[in-house]
Amino acid sequence: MNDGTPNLAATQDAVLAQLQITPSLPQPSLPEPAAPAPAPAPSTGGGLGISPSLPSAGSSGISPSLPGSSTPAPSAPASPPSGSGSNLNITITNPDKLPSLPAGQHELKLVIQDPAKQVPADSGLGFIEIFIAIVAALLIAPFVQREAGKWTANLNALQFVQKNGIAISAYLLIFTIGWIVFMIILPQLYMFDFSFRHNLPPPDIGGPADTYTLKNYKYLIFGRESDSDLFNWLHLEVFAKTIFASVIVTLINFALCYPLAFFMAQSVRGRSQRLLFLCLLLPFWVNEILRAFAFKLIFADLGLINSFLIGIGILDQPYDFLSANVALYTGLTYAYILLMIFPLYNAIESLDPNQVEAARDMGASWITIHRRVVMPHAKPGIASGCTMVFMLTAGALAAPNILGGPSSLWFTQIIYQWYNTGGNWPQGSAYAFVLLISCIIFVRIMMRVFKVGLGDIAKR
Amino acid sequence: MSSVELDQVTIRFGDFVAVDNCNLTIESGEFFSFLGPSGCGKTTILRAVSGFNDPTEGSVRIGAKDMRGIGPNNRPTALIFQNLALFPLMSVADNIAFGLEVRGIPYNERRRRAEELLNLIALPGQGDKMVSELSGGQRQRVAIARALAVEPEVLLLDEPLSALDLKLRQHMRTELRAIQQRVGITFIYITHDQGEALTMSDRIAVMSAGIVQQVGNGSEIYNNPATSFVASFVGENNAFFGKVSRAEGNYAVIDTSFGPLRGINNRGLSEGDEAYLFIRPEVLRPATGDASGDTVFETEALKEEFEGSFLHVFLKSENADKPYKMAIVNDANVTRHAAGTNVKVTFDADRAVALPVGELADE
Amino acid sequence: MSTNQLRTWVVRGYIILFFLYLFGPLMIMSASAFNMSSYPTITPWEGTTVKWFGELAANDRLVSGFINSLWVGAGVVALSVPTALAGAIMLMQVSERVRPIYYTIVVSPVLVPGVIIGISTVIFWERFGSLVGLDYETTNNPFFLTIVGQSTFISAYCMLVFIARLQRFDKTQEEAALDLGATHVQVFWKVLIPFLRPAILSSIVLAFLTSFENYNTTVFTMVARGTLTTELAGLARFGVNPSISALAVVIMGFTLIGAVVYEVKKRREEAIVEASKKRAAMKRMKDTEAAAAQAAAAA
Repeated sequence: MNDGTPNLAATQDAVLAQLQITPSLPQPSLPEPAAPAPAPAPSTGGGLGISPSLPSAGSSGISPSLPGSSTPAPSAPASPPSGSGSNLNITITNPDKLPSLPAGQHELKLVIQDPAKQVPADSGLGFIEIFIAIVAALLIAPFVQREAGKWTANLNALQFVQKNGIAISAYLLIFTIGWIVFMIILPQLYMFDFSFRHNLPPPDIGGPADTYTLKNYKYLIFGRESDSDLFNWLHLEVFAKTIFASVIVTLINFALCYPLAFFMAQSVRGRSQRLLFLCLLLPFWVNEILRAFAFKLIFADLGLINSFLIGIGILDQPYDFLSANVALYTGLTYAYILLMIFPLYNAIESLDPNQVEAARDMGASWITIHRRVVMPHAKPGIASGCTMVFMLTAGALAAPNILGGPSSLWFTQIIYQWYNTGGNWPQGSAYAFVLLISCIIFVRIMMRVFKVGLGDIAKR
Repeated sequence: MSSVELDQVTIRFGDFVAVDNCNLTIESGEFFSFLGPSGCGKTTILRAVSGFNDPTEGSVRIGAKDMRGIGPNNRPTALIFQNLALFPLMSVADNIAFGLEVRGIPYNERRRRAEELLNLIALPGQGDKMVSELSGGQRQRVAIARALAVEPEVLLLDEPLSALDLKLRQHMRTELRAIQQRVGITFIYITHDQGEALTMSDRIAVMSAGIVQQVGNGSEIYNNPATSFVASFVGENNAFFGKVSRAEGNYAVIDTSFGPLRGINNRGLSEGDEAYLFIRPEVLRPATGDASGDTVFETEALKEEFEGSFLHVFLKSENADKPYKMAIVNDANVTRHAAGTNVKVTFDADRAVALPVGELADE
Repeated sequence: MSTNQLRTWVVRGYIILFFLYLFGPLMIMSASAFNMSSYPTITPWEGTTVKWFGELAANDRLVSGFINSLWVGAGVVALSVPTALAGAIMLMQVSERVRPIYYTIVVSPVLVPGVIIGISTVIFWERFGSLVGLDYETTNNPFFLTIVGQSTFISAYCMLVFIARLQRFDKTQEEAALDLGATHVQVFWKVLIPFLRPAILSSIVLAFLTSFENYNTTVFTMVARGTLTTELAGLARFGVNPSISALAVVIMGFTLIGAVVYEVKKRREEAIVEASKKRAAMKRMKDTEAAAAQAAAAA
């Protein structure tokens, strides 16, 4: 209690309580082989499991030293953070309970825990592990059932190996299951799980503070507890704008590409068609970063558009297209033209041109022809194109980073921030998961409205 | 040594029985055919012998050795697929030498053996051509050469001639038989064309719906069919339906709608049994005006078809869809019959066969 | 007549505008690579130069990023192409009932935003690695993470290529090969792989190019390092100068060459096919003539 600074008083009490109450800790081995090592007395009541010795019995001030001996504390592995240099003085109140240890230099490591918290033994089993066990059980169950004598005509494990030989079967199973389990399913589950956790520094992971929480999701909606606003308007607005803008970009993209796709599919053949394809493909061989950058050039204050508009007198000052998001939307529309055109083209190409002719013969206007004949036929292509464009736009990161102005934060940029400067991975995971759910919902809606399957959408 | 034995072989796919209790032995060096309509199970048996399906019950023995659990790459068999399954990305010589290549035989040796086989199948020096450059008949022969290259004990052929045109088919029939006799290995041949089966085989197994109806050589199958199916499937036949009114000695008399008719009874029919009397078109001939008895009947002539060596006379039968057919040899004495006139028809009872009522082959 | 003419002009105008939109930005960017101005632009034009190309070559981060891209691309090809092939073969072999579920699962990475794949890959290997005992070096190695992360969805793309090709494969060839005594491994290498060769080549190119230009996933998995694409993005965002335009010119140059080569090759192939068709037709004509002449002579 000498020099105890006021704010350490509580800590000292805690330490003292610890020293008195803590059940016996595993006895460590003593560092000095030379000195006769007395077997450290295990708990006499609340024994002291302190590996180092204390300079002498009696009240003493001990300055805790820093990373030193290995006191096997039940928590916190790895190296403790380097000290800030604050001093903590400790008085041993019941020296007679100390084991007698040889005099000399020893090191003491102090672990301060909140005594109010009952520390349940960490079972080490998270939600993830239980889930995996359930899934594994579900997968094994059918095999067990089949072995019990119910033969089906479907391929079972033995027939599979017979059909493919051992080596090939092993190759197929290892790569396929490895891919599905370790690259597709588990990472998503882990991210999902992670989004429900606190943002802990590495030493604390797996420790008592590592519980589940909804706070990451709550943050998106409600923001910091200290904020005066009821809702996290900033992030919610960004999210809504991202989704809304993606929809708009998709629609514009569609309107832009549909006529060309139609033209290519119905009116052009052979060599010129291939040339047209090549022309379409060329820009997309260029890196998407460079493509976005090109738009930055054009829309810059000194760029082409501003110079042109100033030159012909519409503007007298450069207009900040970048901040106004015009650059971003133009760039985004541009980015995924290919992904809209090809599905549309493929879908329209399979339409018998005679149908269009027949409709025209019957006097239908072009609008009617497209609305009633072409588009219904091209539904899978439209669904595929729109879905891909939406998902890529909502999930875009390069274009917003390069073309976005300060006000046009894109939702993915917020996620990126959480990972980099924000240093809050669980928060980032929660946001990422919200993005994923939105995309899934969109895909489901498209599949329902256009009555297409997942395979149709994924084909290019 | 290279005999094939099917011992109580039953093959099921789920609830469907493809082959039902097949028991037969194919002798070493024999040209043996399975004859039957599509779906009768003959392909399934072939695949069971070659190792692609193991029988659900029973066992397949090759050279007295049980083949259960032995895969197609370890059996002493070679299969010629219906679509030939030649490797399009390899040359003719590489195709033929493939079986040798996978056994690790060095390049020069392989090449030499391929040349030998090319001579055997009358395509000398064509080894470097690609498969796509060959005609159908040539490809057929390459498939055979490829199979022979691995010196199998049993060669299995799955309707190999069905994709060829008529002239080529007839030519290949002779070819195949000649090759088999030259090389001396067991051939198991499946087909739905009875002409092929009859001309090429030592023995034939006639199958329908998974069941082997009869096993015998061509003459037995044709002249002495064991079941109604065999009688109606092999060659053309006229079926007279009725009940056995008398059964004595070798013969049975059947009461048909054309009166009592007599034929050979080898299958133990007794009085009162329902039966068919089968009489081949070439066994029927016009009767003289005063002929009568249990080898004569009368019916209306519907129309005639002159087919060169035969004159076919279509006669009204008990089934309006399937008239009877009489085939008269086109010699100097042939008489024509106007449509609609009544004719008296006679036949030799020793060449009419009485059989229990059973499944008839579809046209 | 005039509405038709009007329509043709509208269509032509639309196509011209479309391609202007498509190529314009790229051409402007290419031009800016030669402008002296230190901010990439073509207005105002301060003088023609090629110094930015030199700057490009001297930019260490871009160069090391490029090399990293190559390594990552090679790793992705090595991992995704076999995975895609295995996935495609399995698809053909699983039972009818399982197939739609299986297909949905393996195609799903295509539809998941790249950022999410990147994030989940990093989190998974960090946590799973410590669970299983892998050391920090492995689980946080940027190359490992990037290769695995990118392969997750690139395998799906390649798998679609393989499925298309596999569907046209004649299974009886495998059976014939087995029947002739080949082991399963021999059937795989001597019959299936030769057939799949075009698909394998397409997949390799597809995998490499997709990996090279990927940003969304790579920016998370490449931890402290960068690929050419991520470094470029950093430059484009902050350190803007025309050496980026120079890079664009280089890339577009290569692409153009590639496209021209491809077109020439295609045209040559077509010419060969045309020539052989002509020869076959001539031969048939000659044969018929000869047959007719014979018949006439015999008569």
